[in-house]
Amino acid sequence: MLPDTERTINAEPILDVRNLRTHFFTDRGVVKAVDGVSFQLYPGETVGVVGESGCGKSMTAASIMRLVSHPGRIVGGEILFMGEDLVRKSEREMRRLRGNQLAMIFQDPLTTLNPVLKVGRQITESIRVHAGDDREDGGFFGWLRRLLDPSGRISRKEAWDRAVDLLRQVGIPAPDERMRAYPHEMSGGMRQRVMIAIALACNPVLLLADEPTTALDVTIQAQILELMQDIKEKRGTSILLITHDFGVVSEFCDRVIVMYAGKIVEQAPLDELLDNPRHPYTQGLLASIPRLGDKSHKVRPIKGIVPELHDLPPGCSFSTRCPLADEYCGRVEPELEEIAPGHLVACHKVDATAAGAKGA
Amino acid sequence: MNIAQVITRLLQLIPVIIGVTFIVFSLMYLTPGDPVEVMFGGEGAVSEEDLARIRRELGLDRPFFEQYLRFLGGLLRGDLGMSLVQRQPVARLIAGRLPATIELTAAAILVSLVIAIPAGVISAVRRYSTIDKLGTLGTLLGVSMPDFWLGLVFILLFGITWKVLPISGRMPFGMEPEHVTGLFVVDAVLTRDWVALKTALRHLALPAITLGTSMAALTMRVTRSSMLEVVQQDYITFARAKGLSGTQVVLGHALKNALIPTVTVVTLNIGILLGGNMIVESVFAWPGLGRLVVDSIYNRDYTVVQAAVLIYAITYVTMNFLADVLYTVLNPRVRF
Amino acid sequence: MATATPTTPVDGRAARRRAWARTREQLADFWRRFSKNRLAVVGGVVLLLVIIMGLFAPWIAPHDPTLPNFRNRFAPPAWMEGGSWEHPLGTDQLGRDMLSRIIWGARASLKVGAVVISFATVVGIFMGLVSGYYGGWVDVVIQRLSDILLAFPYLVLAIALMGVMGPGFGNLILALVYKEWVTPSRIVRGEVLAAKNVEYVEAARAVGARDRHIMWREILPNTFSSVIVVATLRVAWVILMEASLSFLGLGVQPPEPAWGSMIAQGREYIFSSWWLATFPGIAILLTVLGINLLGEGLRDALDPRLRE
Repeated sequence: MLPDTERTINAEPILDVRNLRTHFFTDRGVVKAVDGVSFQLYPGETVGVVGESGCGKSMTAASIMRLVSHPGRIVGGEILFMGEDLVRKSEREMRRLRGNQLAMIFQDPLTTLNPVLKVGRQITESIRVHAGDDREDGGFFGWLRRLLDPSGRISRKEAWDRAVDLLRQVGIPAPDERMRAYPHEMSGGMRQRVMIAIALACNPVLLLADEPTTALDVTIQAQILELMQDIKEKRGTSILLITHDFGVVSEFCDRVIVMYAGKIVEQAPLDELLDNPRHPYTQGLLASIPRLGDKSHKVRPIKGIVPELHDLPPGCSFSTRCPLADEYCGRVEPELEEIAPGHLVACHKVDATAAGAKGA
Repeated sequence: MNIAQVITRLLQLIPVIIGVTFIVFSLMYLTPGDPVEVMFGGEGAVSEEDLARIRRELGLDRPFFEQYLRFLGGLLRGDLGMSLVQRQPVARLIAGRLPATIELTAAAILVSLVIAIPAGVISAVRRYSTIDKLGTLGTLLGVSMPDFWLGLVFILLFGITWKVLPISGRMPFGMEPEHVTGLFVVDAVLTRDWVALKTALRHLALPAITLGTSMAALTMRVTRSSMLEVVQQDYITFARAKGLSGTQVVLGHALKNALIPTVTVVTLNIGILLGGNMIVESVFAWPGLGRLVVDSIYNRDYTVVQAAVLIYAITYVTMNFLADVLYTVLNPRVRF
Repeated sequence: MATATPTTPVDGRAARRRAWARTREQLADFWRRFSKNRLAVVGGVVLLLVIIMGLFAPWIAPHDPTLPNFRNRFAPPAWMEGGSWEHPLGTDQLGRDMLSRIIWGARASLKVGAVVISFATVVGIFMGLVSGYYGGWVDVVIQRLSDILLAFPYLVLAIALMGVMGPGFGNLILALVYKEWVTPSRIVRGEVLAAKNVEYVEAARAVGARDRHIMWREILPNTFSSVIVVATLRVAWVILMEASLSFLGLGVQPPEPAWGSMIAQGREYIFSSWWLATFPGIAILLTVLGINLLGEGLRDALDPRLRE
């Protein structure tokens, strides 16, 4: 399954996000966590979303799942998933998608798995919850009815067997035993595998992975990435990988989206982005990565801090930290423009950045 | 928590309980007034020589520590002394009153849990809603209300104005169900005496609600705040990401976590119920231990007061211990 | 900013000025957060009214609260048939004016609440400081004593103490204070233990500051907000306990008007004259509610960590 980075094949995107805006209405003002984000994800493709914490990458994923919590709200845009707009779906319709065609894994498996429930219960639950989906789903009473009348659901035994099988697939030894353990009785890597198993329970079309390796040791990180690579190849699942780690992106993604202060500032196929980054922020991110064994490379962290999201500068959000910014940048917001096939940049100084591609 | 840890924790209780017995004993030892005089109905009823003789017989002329050790020895044998006024073993008097108090306390706990846990959960899940605001105001009213006054208001409304519920006692004389446990509600069910059951429940209603109110307020507050904390956790978002409904998430994932602190607080708050007992039993003429203590204070029957205070304190200490044990039983993460 | 050594008097003044500015800023910040909480402000106003009632009872009360008038017993409140504005809340079984008695009752409740909590807080701070700072056997003794006192359920020992010692203001204070000091002492002790290893205390000790100086100047100020919040909330509790004791006839003694004992007397006549027991109860409820609202507002504004 080759990634469709060149968009030469006329495949329909599996996910088409159009001008998504998710805002938080706080006491201190409106925080535009996601502000006009558009991108596509094609079948079998893996796209990385990178940026510093607070840039809106996690909120983009939460918006796709429609799991933005108070005081946040999706205020505009469309999220077309397999042709259907998730923004307009009812909560009940969303519930049928979540954990089914649309699955998500989170950063820290220790806090993401329920500490007081055994692992087995948490996996079988995600198998069983979608087994009776075709039946009427009427809130509390629907739940009660299904509880009293389990026909149309799969049996506990069946769900158990499938869960054991899932654990085996994600590489957990002695899965039968592990089913009876509490999350805290497992190692971090094992827990992350459990979480992946839960996400895969209903064979999702799209997997949103929010920093899936950040909380893990480096060696475990590699194992988990390998597992995800394996899933991608065997199942053809499309993956949206949210991370701040360019190392993970370069190993794993076909295409990269760089976000800053709620907006996409650059988007390109992986190799293009690594070889020819054009947004000063992307260049800064790449320059700030320490490289092993390369003494000539100097780590240069980006100056300044991410601006408060409820108090953004009027023009380009990055202008307060940008080495190239001038008065115009601080006044007029740049648009995302395609400068090469599949390579989009939002910068007024895009002509000036080409020469200094490897660190201006 | 394994057995060894439970035993360690139990052993830690011993110095506390010894301290409690010491305080209770000294309190009564230092009491102004002569217990022997109380026994015989006040000053001058008995000649000086007789008083001295009775004191000697009761060991009241012994030094403080000797008397204390005898008191401790008696406790270990289950001997709580003699009532000065009623001329009966205190242990028997108290045993006769315990079922009424246990029944009332259990009913109050039940009432408070039935109200407080759903209210707390709904309040947290519907945060910022009108229901939540009303609930929060209700808890504040509940903790600010003197229970004896609430009891009187209930008496005024349900007993006097609307005349729908009885306002005093446990049961009219002669209607008691056959004695099995002493808890009328339980006995009535066991002996299938439905008339007695109905009467017992009707008598229980007002005292139990009065006693349960402040506890309900505290329990609801804890349930709400721990629920609010729990619903912000990642595992709740993940549960929703699995496609579970709101009800499934709340009942299946959030509640068990939220109830861990609630159970602890409920167990600890039983101490408040024990104090409230005396007040509420006095208001509703409920023939339990609390009323016995208050009556004994009026009668200066200090041996009864002493024993009852001791029983209250030991119950409370035991509840604290149970709270610790329950906390670890419910929370698989804690191994202390 | 001058780079001069901190010993020059000019700089010392500047430092003091800066410290004062910081304090003022903190106060302003506190007030901003507190005043936004409308319920807390309402609670504060209610408490203020009750305090005014208590302080100025002799001038505010329309009648002598202890003066019986046997010609006018059980007069109903003014808005009921047979009532008059001479006695807005009616009269009791001895013909005494209910409103005046309730106003004077505020005095009794506040007096007990204030004395008990001040006493408990002072003792608690002292015990906490000593226990935390010196540690060792002093700490063990104080902590075991606290454990033992905490083993008595609320009110149980207070009732027994009052029963045994007999009524009286001093006894009442003692019966309510005996374990009230434990909470502030544990807060202070915790803060002391936390601060013990913090750099500025070690620095103070290194330059030879004496223990007492360190305790009073370096550690204690950090505990103020927690102690104040707890003290406020505990006043509400103490007032409830005082009312309970008075209700049982073990607290404030007649003829001194106290809300709890007024309710106890009103209880006898509840079949015929409901107002005798009802109004004092409303007075308790409003006072305690006001203090609770104020206390929670203070807690949220001063020390968000204290939130349950």
